[in-house]
Amino acid sequence: MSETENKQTHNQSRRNFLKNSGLTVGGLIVGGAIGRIISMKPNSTPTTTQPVETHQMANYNEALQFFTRKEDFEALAAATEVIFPEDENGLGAIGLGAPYYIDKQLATPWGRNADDYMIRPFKNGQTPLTRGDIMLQGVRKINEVSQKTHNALFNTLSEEEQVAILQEFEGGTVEMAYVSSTSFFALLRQLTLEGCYCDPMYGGNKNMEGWKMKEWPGAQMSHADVADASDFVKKEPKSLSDHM
Amino acid sequence: MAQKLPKVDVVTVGVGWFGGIVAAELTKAGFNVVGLDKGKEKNLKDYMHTHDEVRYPIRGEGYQKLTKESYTVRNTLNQEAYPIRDKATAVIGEGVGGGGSHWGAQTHRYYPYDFEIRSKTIEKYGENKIPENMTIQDWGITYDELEPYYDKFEKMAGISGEPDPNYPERTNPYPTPPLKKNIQMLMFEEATKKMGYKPFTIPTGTLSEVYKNPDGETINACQYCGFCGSNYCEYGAKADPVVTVIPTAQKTGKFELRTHAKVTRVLHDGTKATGVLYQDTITGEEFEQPADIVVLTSYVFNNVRLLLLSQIGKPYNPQSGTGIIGKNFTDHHGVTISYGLYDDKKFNNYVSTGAWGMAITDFTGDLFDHSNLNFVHGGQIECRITGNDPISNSITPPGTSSWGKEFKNSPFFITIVS
Repeated sequence: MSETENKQTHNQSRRNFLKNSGLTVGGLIVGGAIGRIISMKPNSTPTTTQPVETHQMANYNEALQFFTRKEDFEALAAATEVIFPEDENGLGAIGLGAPYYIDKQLATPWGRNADDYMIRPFKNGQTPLTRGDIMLQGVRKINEVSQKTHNALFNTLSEEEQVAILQEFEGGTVEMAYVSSTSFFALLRQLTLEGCYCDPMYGGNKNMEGWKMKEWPGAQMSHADVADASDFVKKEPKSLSDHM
Repeated sequence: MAQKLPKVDVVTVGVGWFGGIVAAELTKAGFNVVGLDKGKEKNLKDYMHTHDEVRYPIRGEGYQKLTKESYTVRNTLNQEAYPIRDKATAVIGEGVGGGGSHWGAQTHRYYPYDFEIRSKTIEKYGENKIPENMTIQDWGITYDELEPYYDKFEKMAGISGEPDPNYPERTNPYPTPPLKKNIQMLMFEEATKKMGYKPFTIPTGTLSEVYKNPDGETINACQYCGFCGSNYCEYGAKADPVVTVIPTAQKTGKFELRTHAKVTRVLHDGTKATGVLYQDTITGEEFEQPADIVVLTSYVFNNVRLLLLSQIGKPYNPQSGTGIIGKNFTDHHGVTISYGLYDDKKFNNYVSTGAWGMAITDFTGDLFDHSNLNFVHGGQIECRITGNDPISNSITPPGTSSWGKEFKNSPFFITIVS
């Protein structure tokens, strides 16, 4: 698959997502209308019949804070999608926003291990690298292995080829500096799952689609009503934005 | 040069459960208490946005930062000890309330046997039952002596539970009834009863109903919200120093809480503690706080380290077996977990609390015959419903890859009881 085709697939899945969920675009228009009503002064009556201007709120959140090279981020995105692929159950990691989630997380103090003990010496396999260092080295290594074995960037490979490469990383056979490829893969997998199932305020789990797939109700205030229920009770998920 | 402060009756090093209880009880008795905590102040207002798996259980928002100092670990004396690097794996309470703000709140009592484990084991099985290098010993106090204090703690914390049938008779019932029973607990109850064991609902500090404790503090009713063991409870429905003993101490007007205050030495005259030396962690300023009584109420290894640094007592030497400081420490218990995967049943696993479930204690203490066994004591078997937070609970049947197509497909038809 060429890079362009892959991008098309990516965009295609986004379009499907918008189409399938059916509420994102509508929801934004409603939001604009509510905003207009609230801003109207009491007792004010529109004096003309000018068409009302509605604002579609664009999403400016999907840009890079941590990664700097396009091919690094594309390798990351492709790897997350292999770990958590789109299927008949619903969206995959890319559709859920996991790659941008990971980028944002690595730009936080957590990505720099700010609260961890990072004082030398590092012995017995402990790594001196920060999480950001590990992820950056790892995604570059993924492309390096991909170039060496297939003479192409990772995101352009077939799914089987991608799986085989990630299995090598998971198995620890890829040589990395100051960290094992197993540790890198574990971090990549953990961050991917976080990006699929985190509260949507972090930039992943878009529209709570990850939670919906898992029938996880999210940040509910109470489950006392179903604590002794005899059957499964499906609840529509709520996010932390409901707590504001 | 440290600035010397006016003398107080009592100073506690840390203000979690232990420091909070000492502060409440001694201020009520008329003493002036200063609580020093190296972390930050917090109260119920800080608990409102804790329904967040990433921030709390995974990143460890409520845990002590390891930025400047950590704890080292080794498995044998021949190994070099290495520091714990990742804050989220150390899981040590931070700030006012300490671990008591994010505990699972399971509150069993120890058995009479536990307090006299050495003498009771020898009495029943003979001297040879205890291997030469096993350091178990009697506590020096008995269950009967401690029972009134267990009772007092349970009343202060409002513990919800039903009696463990294997315990000696309680002086008083639990102050609040046990939590609700869900399907998983009923299954466990039925199965263990059939096997001849004695299941009971786990006693817990997440309360089954609104409760006012003897100090007048209200603890609210648990909402089974699923964000408990690593989270703060925004309802104030979990027994937590922040909603119980700390406000009790503060109401007396005799408690002064100082945060960002890290104790670096216990001062003493060779026979008795005279106060502490502490540092303001923001400015670096040093203070001397003289006190009649110094109580070490921080995390177990911080207490031990402080004693060692202050040259109090004889350090434990594991080779010679001499000394006491650092010997036989108690930290968090270990657990072994197994999961049941059902393809014909679906549970409300998202409903959970920190310690919701049923247990049998028939295999703990000396409640079963150890004559032909090469160990003493045992463990509790329990069915705990700890929630299925989606990031941490992607459990798949054995043999399934932990990622990829098969992985993604499996959680949707398999449900879990843990």
